[in-house]
Amino acid sequence: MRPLTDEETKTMFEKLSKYIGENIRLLIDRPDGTYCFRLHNDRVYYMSERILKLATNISRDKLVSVGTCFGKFTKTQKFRLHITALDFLAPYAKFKVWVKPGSEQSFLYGNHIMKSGLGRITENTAQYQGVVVYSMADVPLGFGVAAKTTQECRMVDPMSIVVFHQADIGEYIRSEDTLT
Amino acid sequence: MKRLYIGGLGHTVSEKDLKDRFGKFGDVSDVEIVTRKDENGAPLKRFGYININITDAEYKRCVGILNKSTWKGGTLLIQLAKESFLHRLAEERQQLVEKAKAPKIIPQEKLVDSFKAAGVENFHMKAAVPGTEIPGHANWVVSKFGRVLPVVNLKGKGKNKVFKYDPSKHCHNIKRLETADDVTSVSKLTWEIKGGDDEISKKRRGEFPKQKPCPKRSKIDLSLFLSNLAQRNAMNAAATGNKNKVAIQQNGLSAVKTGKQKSVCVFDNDSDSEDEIRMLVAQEHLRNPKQTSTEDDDDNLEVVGDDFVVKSNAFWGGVEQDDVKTSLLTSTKDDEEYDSADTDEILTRRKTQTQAESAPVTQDSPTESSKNKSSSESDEGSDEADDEDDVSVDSDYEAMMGNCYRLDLSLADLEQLAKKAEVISDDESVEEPKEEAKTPSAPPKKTGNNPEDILASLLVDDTPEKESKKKKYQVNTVSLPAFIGTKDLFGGPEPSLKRLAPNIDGESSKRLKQDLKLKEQSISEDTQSSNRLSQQKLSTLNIQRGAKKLESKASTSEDDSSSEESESSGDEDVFTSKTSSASQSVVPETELKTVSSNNSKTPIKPNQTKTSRSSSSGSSSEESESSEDEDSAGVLTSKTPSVAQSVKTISKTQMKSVSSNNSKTPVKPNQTKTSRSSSSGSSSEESESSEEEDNAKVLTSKTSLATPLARTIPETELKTVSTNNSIKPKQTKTSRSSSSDSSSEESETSDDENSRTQTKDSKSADSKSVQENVVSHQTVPHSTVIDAKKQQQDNQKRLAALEQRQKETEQQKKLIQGALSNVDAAKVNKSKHIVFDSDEDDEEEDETTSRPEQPPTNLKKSLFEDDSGSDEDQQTSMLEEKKNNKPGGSKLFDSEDEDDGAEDEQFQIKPQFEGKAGQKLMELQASFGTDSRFQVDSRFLESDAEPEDQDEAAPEEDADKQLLEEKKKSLDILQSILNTNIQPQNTRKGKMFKDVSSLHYDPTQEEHTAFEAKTEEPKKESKAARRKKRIEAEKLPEVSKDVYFDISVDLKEVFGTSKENQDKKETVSWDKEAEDPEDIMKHMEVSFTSNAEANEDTSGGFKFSFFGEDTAVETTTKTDEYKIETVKGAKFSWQADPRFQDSSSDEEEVDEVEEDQSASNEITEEPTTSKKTFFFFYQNDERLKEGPGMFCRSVKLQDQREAWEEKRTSLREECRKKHRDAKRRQRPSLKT
Repeated sequence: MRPLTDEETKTMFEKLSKYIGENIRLLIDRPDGTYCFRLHNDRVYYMSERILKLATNISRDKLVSVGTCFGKFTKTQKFRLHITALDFLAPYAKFKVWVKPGSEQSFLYGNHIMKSGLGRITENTAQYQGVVVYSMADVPLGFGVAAKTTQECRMVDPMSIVVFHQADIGEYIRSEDTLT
Repeated sequence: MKRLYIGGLGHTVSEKDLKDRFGKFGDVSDVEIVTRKDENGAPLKRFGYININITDAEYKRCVGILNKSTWKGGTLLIQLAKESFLHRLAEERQQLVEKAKAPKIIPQEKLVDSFKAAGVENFHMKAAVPGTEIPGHANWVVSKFGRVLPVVNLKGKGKNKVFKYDPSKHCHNIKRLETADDVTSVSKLTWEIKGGDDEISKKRRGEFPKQKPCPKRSKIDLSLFLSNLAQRNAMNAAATGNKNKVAIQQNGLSAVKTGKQKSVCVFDNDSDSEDEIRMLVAQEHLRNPKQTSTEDDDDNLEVVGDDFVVKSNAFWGGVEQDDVKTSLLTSTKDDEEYDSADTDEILTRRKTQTQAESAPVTQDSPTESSKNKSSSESDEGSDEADDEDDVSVDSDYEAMMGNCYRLDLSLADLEQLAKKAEVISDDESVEEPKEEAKTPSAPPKKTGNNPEDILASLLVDDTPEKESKKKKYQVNTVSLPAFIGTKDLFGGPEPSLKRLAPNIDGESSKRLKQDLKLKEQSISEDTQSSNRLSQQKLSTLNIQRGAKKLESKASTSEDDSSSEESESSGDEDVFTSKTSSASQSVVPETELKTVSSNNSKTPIKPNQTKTSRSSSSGSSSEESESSEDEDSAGVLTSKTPSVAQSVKTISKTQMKSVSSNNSKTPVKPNQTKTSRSSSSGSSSEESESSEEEDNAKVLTSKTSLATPLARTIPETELKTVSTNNSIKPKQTKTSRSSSSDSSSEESETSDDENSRTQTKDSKSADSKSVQENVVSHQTVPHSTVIDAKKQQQDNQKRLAALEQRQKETEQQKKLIQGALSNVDAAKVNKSKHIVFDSDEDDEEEDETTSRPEQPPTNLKKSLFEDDSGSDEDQQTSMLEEKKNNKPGGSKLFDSEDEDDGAEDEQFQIKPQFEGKAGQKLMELQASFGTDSRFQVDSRFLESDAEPEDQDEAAPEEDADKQLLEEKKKSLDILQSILNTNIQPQNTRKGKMFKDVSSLHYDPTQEEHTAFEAKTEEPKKESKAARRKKRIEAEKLPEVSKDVYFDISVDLKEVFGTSKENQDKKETVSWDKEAEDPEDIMKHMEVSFTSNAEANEDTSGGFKFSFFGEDTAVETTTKTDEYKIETVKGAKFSWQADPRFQDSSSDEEEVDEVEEDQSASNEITEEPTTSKKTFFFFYQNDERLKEGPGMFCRSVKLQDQREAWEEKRTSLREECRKKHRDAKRRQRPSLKT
């Protein structure tokens, strides 16, 4: 477990900023305590100082997970967001997409969101903007990337994809063994 | 008939007059007189019209005679008038009528006739040269072939020329058509198709078969068709494994929702012909174009702004789940589409509907025409197939639901649903029989699909098959008895349990969970419960749980009675009232405890079971009540020994509960067995000894001590026996086998309990009293079982002693309650938290929660010790503490597996052992064993701990620094990414809005020194300097008058009369400011005379304005400091408002003049006299003398009058003269 290098931090923040913009600051600069990002097994964990200290008692090879996993660095040193970060990102999300109850399940199975399943969308969503997907009951379901702008979404036919799937809470079951 | 206008009629002329007058000339038929009036109604002019039959000659005569003749005050003017409008209209109409009556003459015929007359037949004139005109018709010429054609005048384009087109000149263009005889009309021009008799040829020929009357379609039929359609869609989707199935179903759903009318064009081959479908579609389109449009609207997605607030964080807040649920429930009613949780419900509901509707399909089909009969049969078959598909859909649905995100509904919610379902099912039941009567062949309706139905069936104990089908994913929901052990329960899904708990009143989920826990307890002691059940003759767990409420009620009532008992027992004091108040809230509190902690939960179990038992044996309680009266009499000697026994036991147990000695033992036995086993025998001995001491203190006799102890032992034994009878055979064995030992152990545990209860006090005094009460109830029935009359007397003694003790404890409690009221309040909040974790977690949490509340308990202890004032007590308590600490040290950090809550409270860290130092102290104490003589207290804990702390702190700081650095770095990176200015927190502070109005001066803050007005304190002159100054002042020569005159000018300057003066003044003042008094002094020394004078000037000026009485010489030194200020003030105030200066300048000027005068007057006088002045006036002011003169007459009135008379004449003359002059002057000006 080690702190992120500058490069890694940059990569990760770039990714996170797609979803929550400058609200990343709220994650780093929290009033309720010191929180930090740590890299462990190519995964980035977000934890409080207290947990960080506690985790020092566990050897590196034995440590499976600590704090909340935000995502992992791929071999090509790209950052991939995990669904576990949803709890932290959803409240700060800038752009949101609400999925109709009918296509909730489809999304939770890992499919993209079609226009037909799109219930509501934040205005002025740009193309390829990171969005947090909500159900109509305002339960955050996962992350996505807007395939079309809000204006385009109005026009397109119902079967065209409007949000690309990134991560969903169905992964808690589907990739139970890999999520940490 | 002429209409005449007669103008200039007099006012008196009437119509009759007119008639008579003109009647001479002809027959007057209609007379009309018009009067014109102005706006006021006064007649201006009068004229008339008459219709008269008159000849021209007569008219001329009439005009000659009457025109311009005066008649009745008016000159007549007679003219011919136009015909009356009405008359004309009537005439026109008459003409029209006449025209209509007249025979119509067609010009063509006329033409033909005239042509005939001219020798033209059928527009042909044979043997006529083209170009010859037809006689009598100018515009007709003979053209080629003798054809008679008209000459046409054509208007040229653009120009206004008219061409005359003579057809005879262009006749060579005309060709003659061969006229055929067999001319067929256009209508007969169609060619005939020859063919057979078959339908196609018939249709070709336009012979269509007769239109069948279109089959009538009811609404149900339509919806049926649609639902069929939706079903089929769903089926297809299921078959293909398409994931859009849900969407389609949703589609069908919405169709159902929108009045079951939705235009979907689907071609299904078997059921209906295309025409019918088309017809249907058309109908639908006609019927509701609106709905289709709304559908389109549905497709439109909602776009929300950036500031859209997510409505409820169901995801985040576990506590708010109830709210969420309720909101969801309500939302199911109105917007089902947006409710994710209820999609399955909706789905099932829809299905049932479709199934209900599928019945009429088969019923309907026979009514269709014979053509469709075969198709209807196929329809039936398809329907059956549909049903089969339904089943498959169901299974698919289940599979789907298995993976679905789902909100667990609480029972209350389900109940509400059930209520709804009842209504719905009623409706359905109304419908159903009809359908079934109609179609016996129709498939039986499935009732289990609807969740409400499920619930209803659940409540009515219906077959659980469908439930299981529906709730396959809910593990272990159906059969309760399958549960063994709490672990399983905790492992198992709680929502499912929730569903099954038959809560009768719809209550909050919290309450439900409590019930759950209780239930779990009851299940955990499976065998016990079974025993108990046999005792109570309750067959099932469910019933027991159902009866729980009753029990709780009984317990509350009993609590009341117990409180009464406690009162009757002879202690009429505050505490009893307290207990009574507390006892009323027994149930909720204990339940809360169950929720908050596992520890406290376990004691409740026996409580409830026992209360239930006590309720079963109500006679005993009654006995106790009856015994109350005797107690209230204050006599402890009982009439009936058994009753007295019960009374004593009651009171005794109450005493116990108060003193919390032995009282808890009945609560314990079943749970504390492990703890008891763990507790060492030596400790038990110690506790015994301590108790002995206690008892000795109270009873003061060893023998008597022995007896109560002995008594208590069998009692407790008996109790344990009785309880164990009901609870566990194994336990009874253990307790029985260790007869005396166990008793001692029990007493030990009770001692433990003592401390425990004290700690509990810190938590909540109420809960303690509650428990005590509970205990008292428990003991009541058991004590009745005991039949030991010999112990009565001892009991009495003991009672007295215990009463004494009770008083002490009461005092304690009062103190503690006062001290802990705040802590209690906090505790109440804490206890509301529901923890779902396993036992160990609960325990840990309990520890953590209890830790901060430790200090009060300690305080209480000390108080108690003070009260008792006995060293023994203190020592024993210390011993107890030590004893507690020793195992506690080891146990604190282990996860205690089985022991109950009361037990582990014992192992809470004492306040003196908190923190690192505390740990050390504890270790030290442990090293010296339990011997009180070698007790080690905090004094022994020495300074070496502190540097250690520091050492530890140092790396921590390092880590903090590192973290901070990291944070900074990451923020920097973030800033670089976002290209925005992000500063860690400092910026936030900087940006914080400062309300200027609310800005207050805070002397404690350094920043606020800026707001302080710096008072320039004049440097304290040394005595020598002052003396020097004074001497100088004395040395000053007498002020010359000229100088003093200047002073008055200075005054002017001070008030800033003119700008020049002001400027001058300013310079002066600035000089003054700049120069220190010392400097001034020096300056004066250097240039003595002139500067001294100047100095005197200012001082004098100042004096003049404010301290007029003082002499100039004296004031110079004293008022030195004021000088500056006044000058300053003048400077600021007068400078600030130049307008004011302007306005006042005139007056001031006057003043100036006057002052000049006065000053000049005063120059001659002594300057000191002038000093005796007021602000503007001074004594013997000239103006003051002049003033009254203005008001008094100087001359006598008569004289004045005479003078006036004299003057008057001269004045008058002068005035006249002036007047004349003016006139004279005016005249030439007019002329010119």
